[in-house]
Amino acid sequence: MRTLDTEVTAGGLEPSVAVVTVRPALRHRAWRRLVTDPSAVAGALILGAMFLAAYTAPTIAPRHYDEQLLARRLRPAFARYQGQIFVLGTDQLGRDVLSRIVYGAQVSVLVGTVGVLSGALIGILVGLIAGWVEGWPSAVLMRLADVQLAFPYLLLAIAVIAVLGPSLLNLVVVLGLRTWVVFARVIRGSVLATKPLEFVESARASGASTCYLLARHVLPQVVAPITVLATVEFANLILLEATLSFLGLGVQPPFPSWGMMLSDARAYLFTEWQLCVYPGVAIMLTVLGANLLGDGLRDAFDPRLG
Amino acid sequence: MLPYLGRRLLQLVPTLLGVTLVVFLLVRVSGDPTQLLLPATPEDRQLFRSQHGLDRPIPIQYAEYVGNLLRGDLGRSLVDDRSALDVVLQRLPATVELTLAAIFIAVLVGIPVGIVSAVRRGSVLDRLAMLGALTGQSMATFWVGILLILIFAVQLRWLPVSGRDGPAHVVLPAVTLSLYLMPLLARMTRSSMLEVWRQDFVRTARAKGLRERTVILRHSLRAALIPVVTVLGLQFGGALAGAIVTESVFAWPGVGTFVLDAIYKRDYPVVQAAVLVVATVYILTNLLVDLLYVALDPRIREP
Repeated sequence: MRTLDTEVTAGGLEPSVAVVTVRPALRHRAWRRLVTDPSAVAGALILGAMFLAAYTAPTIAPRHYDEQLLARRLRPAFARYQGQIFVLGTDQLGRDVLSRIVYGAQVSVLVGTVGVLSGALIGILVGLIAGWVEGWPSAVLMRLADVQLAFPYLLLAIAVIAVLGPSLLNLVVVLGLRTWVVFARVIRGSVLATKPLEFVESARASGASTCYLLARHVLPQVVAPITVLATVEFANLILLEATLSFLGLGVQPPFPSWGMMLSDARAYLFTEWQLCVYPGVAIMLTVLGANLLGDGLRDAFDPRLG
Repeated sequence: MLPYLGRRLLQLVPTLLGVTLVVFLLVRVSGDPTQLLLPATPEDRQLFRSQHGLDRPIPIQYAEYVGNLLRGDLGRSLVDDRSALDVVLQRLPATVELTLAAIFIAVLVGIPVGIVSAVRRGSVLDRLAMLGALTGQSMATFWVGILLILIFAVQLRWLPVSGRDGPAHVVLPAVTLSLYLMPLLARMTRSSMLEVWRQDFVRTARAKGLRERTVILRHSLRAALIPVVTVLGLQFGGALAGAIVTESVFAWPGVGTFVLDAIYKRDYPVVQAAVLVVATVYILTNLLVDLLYVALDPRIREP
């Protein structure tokens, strides 16, 4: 297989042309590997279904997430009540479990997406600066990352939310806080590796501005690791959100989140065990989808691994 | 080795200072502590502030805080006025016991699975193991705990539901926590073994006509385990944090249940002390892992 490096240096004096001609081919190959990988496709389908459920929840959910009726509480799956079917039964307040799971997807998808996007944005900026500019600013930024990594993250999140108070916004802020470090480190590494390459040097020598260099030559090199990281972090954030919600530090009732549903269901472990199963399966499927896609992306970009 | 150790210990100083700064700021941004002392007149609040030094500039307050830390004074619990550090340290052994038991189980299962997967690469066994690992990684720790309780405590009645009273009690929480690490170890070991087999010394060993068993166990495993040890060390902190959740599922009387309790009671000094203690244990473990790493692979000692 032709590697990026040899192609690029072969481009000689016209580096940007060389890069432009190489990348589509490379991307095309990666894309083909991705769509022919059954587990990556399965992961993408699962994730797609979850995003769809989250987006169309008000339409596809059989009932409102907070429609309570104690007369029909704690019914098993496929229970009938006054002619209506409750596919996954009802919870301790008589609410439809399936509807709550569908609405719960909104929290997971939102937290995962916004957390990854904000973390990636900050992380990419910090990583670019820390990798490109030498001297104390990068040292300070990277020390900051070190300090944050010195905390067991979950404990930090719990402490921060305990102080700020639980809400969806605080949840997203705290989760984004985790993600930026991961992105910053990877981006910085890639920038450091790309900077001394010949085509970057020559573009710089021909008078290209720093912004142009970063956007045109450095960023394209980090697309692969960013994409992989984003999917993996999406999975991690959903697990973290579920955990924090389980501990009562996430989205507040009555809006449903999968972690909170499990926390409520724990009180009925001995009698209504099914309540402890459905939300957990929803979490597992979503995270598995993201992990499968992430693995597939990694293999597609770098087929030597795996 | 000694200069390396010295350098590493020096690097700890800014990190630990940063940790204390974060913990300090966390509590200061939480607002006016005198608001907790309701009902109080404005004069009472002012008196409280000057008594506790809360009216002085933040940098001076921080310096004092660090000074107190160095004397082992992390404040007193707002609930029962006991030393925050003491109560946290009292709970630490239970958490460490749980974490070590979990790591033991994870290593015992995860590494052999990784080796077998690597040896039988591409087989049904390998595929199943890796799919299992990925699925395990996708399950929330607390949910695994709930499921294990459901199966082994509620339905089969083999093991106790919760508490810490003898060896039987540690099994379910430890298995729960280990399922967080196990997939990672299995995947790491597998890819690390495959990586090592591409290297010359393994090819030489095979070319010498050594038995495959010897090549795998004596030549490859040691080299392959280096990254695995690092990941294990990095994940120790994750496991420690995972212990918080696991403890709360099983009512395990460790730092985790304690810190959650303190959060619900708004007992900030205890929360602070717990975060500091756990962060310190985490940092020291990572140092230990780095030293172990150097012992396994002397090439790293050069800067």
